[in-house]
Amino acid sequence: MSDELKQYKCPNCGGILVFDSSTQNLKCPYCHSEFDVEMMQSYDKDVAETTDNELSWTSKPQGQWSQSEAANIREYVCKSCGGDIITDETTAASSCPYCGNPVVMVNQFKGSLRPDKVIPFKFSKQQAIERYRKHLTDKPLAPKAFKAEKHMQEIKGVYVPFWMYDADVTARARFTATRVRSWSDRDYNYTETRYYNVFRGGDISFDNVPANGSSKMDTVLMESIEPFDMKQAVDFNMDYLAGYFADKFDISAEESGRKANQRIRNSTASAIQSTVSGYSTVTQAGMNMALVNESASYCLLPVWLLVTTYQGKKYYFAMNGQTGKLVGDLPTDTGLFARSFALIFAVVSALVFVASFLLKLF
Amino acid sequence: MMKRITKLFTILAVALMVCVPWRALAQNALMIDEYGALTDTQIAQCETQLQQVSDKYGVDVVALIASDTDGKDIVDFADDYFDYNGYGRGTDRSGIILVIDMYGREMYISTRGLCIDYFTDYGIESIADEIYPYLAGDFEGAVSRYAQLCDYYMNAAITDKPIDIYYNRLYIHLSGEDGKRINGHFSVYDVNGVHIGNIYVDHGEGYTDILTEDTNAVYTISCDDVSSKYAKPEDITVRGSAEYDITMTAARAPYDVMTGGAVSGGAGLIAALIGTGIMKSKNKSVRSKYDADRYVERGSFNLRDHRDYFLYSRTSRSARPKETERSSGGGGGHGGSFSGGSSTHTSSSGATHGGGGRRGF
Ligand SMILES: [Zn+2]
Ligand SMILES: [Zn+2]
Repeated sequence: MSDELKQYKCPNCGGILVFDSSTQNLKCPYCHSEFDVEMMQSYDKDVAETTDNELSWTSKPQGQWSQSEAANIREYVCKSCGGDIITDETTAASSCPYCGNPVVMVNQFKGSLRPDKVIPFKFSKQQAIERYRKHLTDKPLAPKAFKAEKHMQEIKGVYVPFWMYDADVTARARFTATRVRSWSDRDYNYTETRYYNVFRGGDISFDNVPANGSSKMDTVLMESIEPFDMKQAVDFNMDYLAGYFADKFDISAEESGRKANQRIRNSTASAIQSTVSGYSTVTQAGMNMALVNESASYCLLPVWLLVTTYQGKKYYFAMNGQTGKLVGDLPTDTGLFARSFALIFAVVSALVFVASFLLKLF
Repeated sequence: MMKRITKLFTILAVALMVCVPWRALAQNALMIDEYGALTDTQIAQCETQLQQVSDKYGVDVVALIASDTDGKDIVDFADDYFDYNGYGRGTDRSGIILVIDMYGREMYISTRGLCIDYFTDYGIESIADEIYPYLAGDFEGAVSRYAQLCDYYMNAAITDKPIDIYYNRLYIHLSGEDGKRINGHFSVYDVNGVHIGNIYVDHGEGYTDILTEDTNAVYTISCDDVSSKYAKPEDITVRGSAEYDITMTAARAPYDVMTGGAVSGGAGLIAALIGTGIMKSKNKSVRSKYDADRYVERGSFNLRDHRDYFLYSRTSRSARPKETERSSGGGGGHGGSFSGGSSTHTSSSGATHGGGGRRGF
């Protein structure tokens, strides 16, 4: 009976429920809702089990460069944008893939984590240029600068560092669901809303959720060229760096994990919510997640990159070096925009005017 | 022998008296002047005139100038006088009697048999209207006019139909070209251009009844107003009762350059905004990823635990909008109190009479 001393909050209004000895139920003195004691115990447990939480990744990649590898690595830095790239001794870097300014080689490669995996480039530079050219064909408002052939030759292959997150997720979620019923009598329309507590617990596994590991690369730009097929990833080997640059990762697993967590959370929530049916409305009230068997690995992914400076602003084009998917936002050429606007306005106005005159619409 | 023959004749005479209406033998006068308003010559002239009309139509056309009504109501007095004095010809004892009560200064016309149909309520009222002015002193004129009118009314009833009041119903169905039922106001004019009625068309339907003796009268229906969207319809000429479908054509104003220009400009502006918007959207291809659905291990989702239970319910109510009563179509009205035909009453003898009269002359 000591359990009855526990205070329960009204699911409807949050008021403290009181025990009503006549009905043996818990009653809300504020909104007059009545609840079964056992039901409230279950409800309280469900609420406690589904408090929102943050995922945290404890696993971290540990790979270290061997001394022979480190000896073959050439490191370049860009004085202009701070870009920090590495390549092998056979490849000479002259300009920064991020800003196009000259880079200088640093005397000694300063050690960092060694990538676990790499997806090799499948598209050549010529193929990348071809895709870029094709991409611009149906962009009437793109400024001419982006279409210059000479500029297209500036496209560079860069291995971008990514964190890859693997985990089995255990989740418990709670939803407030409603069923609505309406009826009428002579004077009134009635609407009854019945509220339900919906509890769901489940497991779901994620493989290689990517998250950008380079502060030089725009996270949204990198998400846009997804997906990468990790089945084609191979163990990292210095040979893959020949002819390409690799960015040194400089975003920690925790930091980049935050975005991956959000995506995992959204997918888990929608998978669980898809099992809730038969209600008028379903609102998520809380979700508690835990990671099991989680691991984060460090991986280099192939990206063709073209940087264009237009009116003092940098515009990035990125192409997935594995799938050929190409993205990049273009600015709008104000002159072309004004001309297009005026042309459409003039043609449509004239057509509507003539048509309405002939049809005597006004 | 003679005695027996005399007896037989007596029996035959009695039998004849019983079988043949005694009036046939008695030859009751059709012009009776109890009051003495007429000279003998005048009585004889009236008698001849009434006799001629009576014989022409096979009914009794009677005129009585009474000193009083024996204290009876003039209606009962007239009916009884006709019934108990054996007036009326044929099995249904058809006839008409004009009673002028010199004491009560009232007049009344009672009809029986075929005459009930020959003289409608409207007919009797019209005859009363015509005779009434004579009662100021010219009683011979009154009876003479009475005989003429009886001739005229019975002739009309036998050769065509009884003179009565009729309605010509003018009915209008009003709709737009698009089939929409619309409202309108119409005026009705007779053949002389005199305004004699109105028709209000509500939701496409409207009529008026025009009181007339002439079921073939010609009318002009002219539109007073309709919704400004529509052109005013032409006047319609109709004959008698008529149902008319009017389809309204939309009124066409000259092209409004200001409105047309503004709308065209607006359309151009919207098209240009949408068009350049589409062009601009082509420049955008970088999009953030919301979920990690692509990286879910196929078939890895496993629901371990589920429970759904009812918590509480809330009921709200809102007042229903009151249904507003809609007045429904139709229009028009009746001009007089006549309904046409002949109304009847039953006299003290049990016979059915029609009739009508005037008070105070
Ligand atoms: Zn409450
Ligand atoms: Zn740079």
